Amino acid sequence: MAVVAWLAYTAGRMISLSEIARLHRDQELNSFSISAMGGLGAVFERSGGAARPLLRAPDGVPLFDFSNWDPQSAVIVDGVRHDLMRLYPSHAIDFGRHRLVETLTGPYWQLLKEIELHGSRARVRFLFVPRRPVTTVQLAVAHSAASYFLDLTRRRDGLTAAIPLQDRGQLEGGIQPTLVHHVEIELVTPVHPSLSEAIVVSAAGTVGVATVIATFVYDAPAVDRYNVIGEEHISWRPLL
Amino acid sequence: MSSSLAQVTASQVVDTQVRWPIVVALAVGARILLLPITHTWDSQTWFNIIIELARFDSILDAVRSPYETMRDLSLLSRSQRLGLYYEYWAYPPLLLYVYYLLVKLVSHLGVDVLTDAVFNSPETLAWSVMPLPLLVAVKLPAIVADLGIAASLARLGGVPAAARSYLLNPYVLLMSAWMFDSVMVLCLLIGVFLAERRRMFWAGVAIGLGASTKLVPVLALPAIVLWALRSLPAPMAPVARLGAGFVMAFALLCWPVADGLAYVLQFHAERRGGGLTWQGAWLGATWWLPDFDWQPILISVSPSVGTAALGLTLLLALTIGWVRALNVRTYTLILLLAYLIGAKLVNEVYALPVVCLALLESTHRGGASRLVAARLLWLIPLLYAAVNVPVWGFFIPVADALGLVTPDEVKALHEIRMLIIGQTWILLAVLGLAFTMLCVASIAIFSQGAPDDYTASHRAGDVLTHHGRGSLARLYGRPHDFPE
Repeated sequence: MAVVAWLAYTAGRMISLSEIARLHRDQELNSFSISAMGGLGAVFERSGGAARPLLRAPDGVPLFDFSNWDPQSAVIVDGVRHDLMRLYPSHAIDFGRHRLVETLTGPYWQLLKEIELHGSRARVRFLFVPRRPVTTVQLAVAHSAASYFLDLTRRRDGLTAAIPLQDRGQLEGGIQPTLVHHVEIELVTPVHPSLSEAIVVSAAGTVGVATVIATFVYDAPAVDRYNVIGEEHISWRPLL
Repeated sequence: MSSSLAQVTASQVVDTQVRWPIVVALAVGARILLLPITHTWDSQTWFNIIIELARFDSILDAVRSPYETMRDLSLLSRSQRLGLYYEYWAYPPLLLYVYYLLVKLVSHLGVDVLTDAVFNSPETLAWSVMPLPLLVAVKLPAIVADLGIAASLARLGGVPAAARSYLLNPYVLLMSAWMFDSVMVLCLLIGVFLAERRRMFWAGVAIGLGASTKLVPVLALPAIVLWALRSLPAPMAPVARLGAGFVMAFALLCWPVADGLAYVLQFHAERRGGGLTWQGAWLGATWWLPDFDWQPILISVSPSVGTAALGLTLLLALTIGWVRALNVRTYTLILLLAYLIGAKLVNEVYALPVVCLALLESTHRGGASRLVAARLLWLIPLLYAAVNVPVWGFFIPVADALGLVTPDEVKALHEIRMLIIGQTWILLAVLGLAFTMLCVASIAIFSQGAPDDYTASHRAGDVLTHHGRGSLARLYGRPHDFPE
C-alpha cells in the first residue's frame, strides 16, 4: 500500500514538474511558433508589436501578420481611441491544440485575440471583456503582408490575394513576382450597418497592397463576459 | 455499556414507525421547492454544459466537448493573467452521459436548447437563468439518487431511520439542490453494501460508476481490499473480481475522454488549498497579516503540502482500519474522513459521502458521541456554506428570473460584500480548522467498537430489520447465494 501511495505521489509530482517545465519553456523563449502538421504555421513574438502573430505557409514563406505596431490598429471604446501598440500585452499558447491568445489590457476592459490553426485554415476571434457598461466598441485590425498582397480582390466582407515568393525589397527593385501562395480572408461576423465596407486598403505601393484593415463594430457588449466582437476565417492554398 | 448500546441499536434500527409515503412525499416536495435554488457559478456552468451537449448528435463527441471547452477557456484565462485554469467541467464524465440523454429528451419534448453558451471572464460574479425544463433536467439525477440512497440505507444497509434522516436533512437538501454528488454517493453506498455481501464484481462496478461521477469512491477500494484480505478465507479471487468490475466500469466510461480527464486532473493538482480544512487558515492569515507576501505559499506550498498530507492521512487511516479490524462501511467512512483531513481543498459538498455514512453508522450503532459527531459533520459544512457562498447567493438566479433584482443591483451587493469579506475569512478559517479537528475526532469515535462484519450480524439476526433476510435475498438472488 505504501508503494502504491508513493507511486501516486510520484505521478502527481511528475504532472506538477511537467507544468513547471512548460512554464520554464515559455519563460525563456522570445518567439513561439505553432503549426498544424502540413498546414499553416504562426510565429508569435513576445516582445515588440509585430508578428502578433505572423502567419506562415507550410513551406515557411511568411504570408502576413497581425501587427499591433500599425498606426491603424486601434480599438475605440465609446469614442475613446486606444492604439493597440500602447496597451499592456500578455499571451498564452497551447502547443498541443495549435492555439494562441494575446490579451491587450485597457483601463477597464480587455481585448483578446485568439488564433487557432486547422490545417490550411485559421480561425481568428476577437473577444472583448468590459468591466463596466460600454455602448459601442470598434476594432480595427491591420493585416500587413510580409511582402505584398498581389492580385487582390476585395469584397465587402473579405478579400483574396496572392503572395509572392520575393520580399518587398526584391519586388521594389524590379524582380518579377513569383506567385506561390493564395490566401483568403473572410469576415464571419456580420458587417455592422455603420460600416460601408469592413475591409479597406490601408497602405499600397506601386507593386501591390502592403496592408489591409478589417474593422469590427459591436454594440452593448455584456459586462464581465467574453463578447465575440469579430471573427475571421483565413484559408490558404498553394499556387504552384 | 454494550447492553445500552444494544438497546439504542435495537430501538433505532428496528424502525417500523417510518411512514414512507409521507417521508418520500416530503423529501420530493422539498427538493421540488428547492429546484430554483442554485449556486451562481453552478447555474452558469450547468446551463452552458447542457446547451453544449445539445449541439451534438454523437454522444461521444458531446461528452468530449466540455473538456475541450475548459481547455479553450483556460487558454483565455492564462492570457488574461487570471489563472492557469478556467473552472468549468472538471469532473469525470458519467453525468455528461446522463445529461446528454436528458437534454435530448427535453429537446424532443419541444424545448429549445439550441441557444448560445454565455461565458463570464474569471473572477467575476456569474450566473445564468435556466429555463424550468433544463433546470429539472440538471437536478433530476441528484433527486433520483437521493431517493436511491434512502432506499439503499433502508434495504441494503438495514437502517430505515438513517434513510429518513438522510432524505430530510437540511444539509443534504442544500447539496442536492447545489451539486450532483448524490449520484456518486449512491454508487459508493451500493458498492460498499455489495462488498459486505461478497458481491465483489458488482461492488467494483458500482464503485467504478461512482468514480466516473467524482473520483472520491476510489477510496472505498483499499478499504474493501484490506477487509477482504483480513476477513475472507480465500481473498484473492474476490479482490480480483472487485478490481475487474471497477476497471471495466471506469474504463468503459472514462476511456473516451481520457485526454480531457488528464487535463482535469492537472487542474485539480494546481488548485490552492482552502475551504473546510486547516488550509483555510491561509485566508485568515492573509487578513491577519496583509503586508506579508502570501502568494508563494498559496501557489506552491499549499498544493505540495496538501499532496503529502493526503498521502500521510490515508496511510494512517488504512493502518487504523487494519489494526482495529474494521468492517467495510466503517473502514470506508474512516478513509473518507482521512481524505477530508488531508485534502488541500474541501468544498462544502465534499462532506456528503461522510455525512451519509456517519448517519448510517450513528443511527445503526447509536452512542451519544457518534450521534453528536454525525450531526456536526453536516452542521459545520452547512454553516460554512451559509457564510461562504453566502446564503443570498443561492437565490440570485431565481430572483433574477422573477425580476426581483437587476444584475446591477446584484453586482452592487456583491461589491459591498467584497469590501467586508476579510472579516468573514476569520470565521471561515475557524470553521475549516474546526471541521478538520472534527474529522480527526470522528475517526476515533467511529472506529471504536465497530463490528468487523455487518453481514455476519445480519446472518446472526441481531440487527434484522423489518425487511429481514428474505428481502435481501429478493434483491440479490436466491437465498443460497449468501455465503454461510
